[in-house]
Amino acid sequence: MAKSSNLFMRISKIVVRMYRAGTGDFFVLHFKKGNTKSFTMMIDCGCINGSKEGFKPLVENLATYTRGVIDLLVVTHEHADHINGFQKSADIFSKINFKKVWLAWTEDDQDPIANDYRANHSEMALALNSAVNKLNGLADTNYYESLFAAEANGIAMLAGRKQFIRSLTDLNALNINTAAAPGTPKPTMVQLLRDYKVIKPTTKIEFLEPGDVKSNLPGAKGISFFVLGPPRSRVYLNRTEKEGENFDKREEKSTVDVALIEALNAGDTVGGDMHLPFDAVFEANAANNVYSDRYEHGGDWRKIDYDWLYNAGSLALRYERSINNTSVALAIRFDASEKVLLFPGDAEFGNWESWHDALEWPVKINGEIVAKKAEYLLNNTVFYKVGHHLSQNGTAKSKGVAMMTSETLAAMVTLDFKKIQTGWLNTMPNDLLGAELIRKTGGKLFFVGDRNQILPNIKTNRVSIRKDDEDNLNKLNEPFDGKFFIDYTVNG
Amino acid sequence: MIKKPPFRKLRGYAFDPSLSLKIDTALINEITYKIAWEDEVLQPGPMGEYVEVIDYDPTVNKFYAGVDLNHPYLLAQDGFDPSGSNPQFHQQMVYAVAMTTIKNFESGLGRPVLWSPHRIIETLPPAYGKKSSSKSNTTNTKIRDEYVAALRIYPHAMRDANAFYSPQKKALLFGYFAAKPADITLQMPGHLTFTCLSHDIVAHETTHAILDGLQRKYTDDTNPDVLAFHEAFADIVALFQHFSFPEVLKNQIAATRGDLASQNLLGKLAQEFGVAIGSYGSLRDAIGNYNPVTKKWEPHQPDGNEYRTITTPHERGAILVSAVFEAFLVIYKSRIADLLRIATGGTGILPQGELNPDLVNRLAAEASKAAKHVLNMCIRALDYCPPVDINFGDFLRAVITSDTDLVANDSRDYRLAFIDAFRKRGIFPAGIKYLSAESLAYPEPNTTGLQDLFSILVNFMRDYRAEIIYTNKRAEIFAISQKYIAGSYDTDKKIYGLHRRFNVKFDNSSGFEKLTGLMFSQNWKALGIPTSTAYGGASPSFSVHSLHVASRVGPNGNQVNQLIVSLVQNANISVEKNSTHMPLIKRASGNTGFKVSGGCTLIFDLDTLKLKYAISKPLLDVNALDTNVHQLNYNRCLALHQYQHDSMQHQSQFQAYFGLANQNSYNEPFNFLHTH
Repeated sequence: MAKSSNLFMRISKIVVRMYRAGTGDFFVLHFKKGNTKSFTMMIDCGCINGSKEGFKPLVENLATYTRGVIDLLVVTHEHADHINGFQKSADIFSKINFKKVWLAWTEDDQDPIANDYRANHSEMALALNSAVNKLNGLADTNYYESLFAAEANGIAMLAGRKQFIRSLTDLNALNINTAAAPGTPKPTMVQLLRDYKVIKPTTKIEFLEPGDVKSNLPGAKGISFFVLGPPRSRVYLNRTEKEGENFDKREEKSTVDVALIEALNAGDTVGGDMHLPFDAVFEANAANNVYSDRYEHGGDWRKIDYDWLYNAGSLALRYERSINNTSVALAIRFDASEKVLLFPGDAEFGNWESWHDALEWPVKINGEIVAKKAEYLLNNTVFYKVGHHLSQNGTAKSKGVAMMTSETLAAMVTLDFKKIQTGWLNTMPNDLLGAELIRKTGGKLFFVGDRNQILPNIKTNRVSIRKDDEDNLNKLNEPFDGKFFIDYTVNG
Repeated sequence: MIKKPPFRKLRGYAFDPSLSLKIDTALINEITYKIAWEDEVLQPGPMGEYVEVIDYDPTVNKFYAGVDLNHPYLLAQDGFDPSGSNPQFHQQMVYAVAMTTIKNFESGLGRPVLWSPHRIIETLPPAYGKKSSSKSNTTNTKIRDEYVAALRIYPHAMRDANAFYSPQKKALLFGYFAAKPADITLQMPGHLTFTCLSHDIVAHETTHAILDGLQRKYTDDTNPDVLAFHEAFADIVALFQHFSFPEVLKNQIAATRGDLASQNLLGKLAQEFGVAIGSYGSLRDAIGNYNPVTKKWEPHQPDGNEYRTITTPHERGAILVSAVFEAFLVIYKSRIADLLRIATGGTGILPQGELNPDLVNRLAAEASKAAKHVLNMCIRALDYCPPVDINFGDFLRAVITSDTDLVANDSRDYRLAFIDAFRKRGIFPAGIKYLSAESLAYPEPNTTGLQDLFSILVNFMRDYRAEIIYTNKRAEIFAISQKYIAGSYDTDKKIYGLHRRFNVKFDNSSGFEKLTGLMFSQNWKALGIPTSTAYGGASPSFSVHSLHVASRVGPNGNQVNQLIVSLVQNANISVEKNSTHMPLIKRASGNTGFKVSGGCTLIFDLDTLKLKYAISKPLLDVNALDTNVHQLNYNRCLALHQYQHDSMQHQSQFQAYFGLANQNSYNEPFNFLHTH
């Protein structure tokens, strides 16, 4: 076939390449017409504890594989496990031509709601940093070792505090995008990607709004991109869970961190009385303070100087989920076959829920334009990038996996026990979701990390997995054992 | 000569500040607490005998001056006015509620409340331990229990929607936070919510501390019920205290026309807190829930599956709370049946309109009495619980047994009400064939061949009782109990401690092993039980966990005098699979294994010198002892192993992230449980 007529051909298959850097997302998609590549898309580049050396061979492979040109880059959200590869491998990415970048509307510095969100997030991030630094200061000076030295159960107490500090520090390491000082917003993704030399003067930047449809991009004829999230509404953006709708029972929570953030961000200068709960007249007389004497001399083991810093734990979880909810969620559809590839980033429940409640897309079926809801896209999903590393809060139940009814469904999980943060070891994978996906995909489930480490944690006593499915999973994964990427081809 | 007043009156909220903002509850929400009078011991803070309030806010590094409740102005006006903006009122409120809770416990227990001791490592002088260590480079240490006089209370300890009892600090930490509620008509956004101003939260946390003083192993997360029990008990105490506020009670009786099973304030816990963290109502409710779909309150109907299917501590605890509350409702209904017949001329149908105030008063009196009885039944039962690994079935048996002991004739069917409420929720004690009061009460144990030993032992313990009965000073009670447990060897009057007596008298006694399920024979090392060299030679390590005397008077004037001793023994084990994938219990080497605890509560009758009950969670396989085989209790070990393995399934996201899975009992377990 002549090359010129190729222009009018539709995309017939997409090869999804998942790079295996560690727990974190790093994808390249080749859109092909027959065996000819005509469009290259990249989604995210990061992993937990990612290092320059760790990324190097993978990013070099990407440079060769893409021949240095990427038509479209999507960065879902700002967590380190989705973007630190750009930072660590800036030297290589500076030589790659990114033609276009898609980011969530939350990264648009012309958008007042986005700016408001970023300002709030900045405050949270700074408060969290402050708590993490203070707690690590205690750990570094062996504060707890001496505090618990005489306690009968001191070893267990020490282990508990250390575990907490380690988990909190790890969780906070996701937040590589922070503001310089209180009162200043943190940089947008555009600024970050410029710093990392990914966005170049020629790169086109587009912000995605839920409900957008982008069809027939140059080189990607026959393909439509449906933007599902992040939602515009605060109600959905703030919602990270709902009883019975996640793969675990959790209650709905609200924002209760305002006072904590205020105190953490006050630093050493307790000035103004914004954050003081009581009038100064009630304060104890500094010169003759019997209460502080009692406190200071009533045993160090009873003091509470630093216990309040541990409240940063729930702050950190809420902040993480809030950022997760700003994830770009994309459905990539073959227009002819209506098959869908779903990339939800790390969207939490509110993001998922908003696709269904608020949005409709014009879809051409048999020449006619009809309005379709998210359920249609989920029903047609044949490839699913599992949200948030197979944790219980990254995939909705009735409004998510239950609607993925295609018999040819396959899924990829960006989870790796070798490179993971401490707290995630206890929360990922979620066994119920893992087992459900193995059942639905008939074993077409792929992992970034060693499946022999992950599978035992899915096979708990409350789930059952068919042997055929497990055998198939092993058979399909085996060819990639020891390789640093997994390719899966979705035929249009 | 002016007599000491019996009470100190202090004003406070019956519930929390939010109810003072609603027209229909404002009047009843401000009540006057009557606190047992503490005179010279009560310092500004308040710092008294049982609690010391230190108002230090580390988040802003400020001390607030403590309230002086002996100030004549405050004495004259029953303390400060309830107010959110005056920290001295906050101090007064926590003091009033904590003391009320403590006194309610004491009246149920029949003895003073003691806080759990501070366990410290003591380094012994070198001469002391010359035999004990073969390795010359190890320093010789022993664990000592240090008396904790007062529970520390920090009313403004953190900025979080959280309050917790810290077993390691022997302190209550209350948080405050800026709220963003689900429904802003119920509460102003950004408004500060102080957990220390909620009666329910303060009573709940104080109960955690009291319970830890009574049963300190109940912070070990060894089965799905243990922490749930802690939570449930704390809620039960907070709930039933609502019935001790006469104005509140009468108001709610009138409002519900005597039907306390309908929606009412008495069955709700932590209303302001619940709204502030984003719920549409109270944090918990013993009789019903707000249904987010119908947007209406609906009574909760147990379906019998709850106990089998719900495993997270708060939700599981709620099963126990609703069971006990239902037992109360049944008892209340039976107590007022005659009143309703009299008031309605026999029809039982109350006329339209408001109830006659006389009837309200009588109904309230019955409700208050029933609540007191039910709460006391629960509190007394704590002495009849095993010292480790409790489950709800054990608690039911404890309630029935302790009540049978004290009240021979259950004329009002209290026990039946409990059994029925537990049955409806699928809570069945293990190893019970018929669900009746007779079969649930623990049987008298078989003491063949042991009675002589017990007689000598209990006779000796009469000295303990004689010594302890004449003091009401808590520090002395603690010291005397410690002396009788550990012995006293360097005074004029040498006392061989209870621990040593058990160790010597029941050495190799298979009869005692069968009773307690604990190991007192050779070869303990093979089972992973540590060695004790406390008395020179080597023996299996165990501890006398607690010791006290209970003297109670029943409704017919009968007196029960009991000596209650609990023993605990641990083994370090691991579970391995054999060639056919059958799990095998092995003793653990080094730090690889996990700890399994067995324990037994022994209740002796001080009058007859007989052992009345041996309530055991056996460490050993008791059946195998019949054939003289000593092996660990396979089922208990395996259940614990499985439970620890599945810890992710019953933990919150926060616990899973930041905790130490099931090894979290020394890592502020209640902070983890209460985090929202």
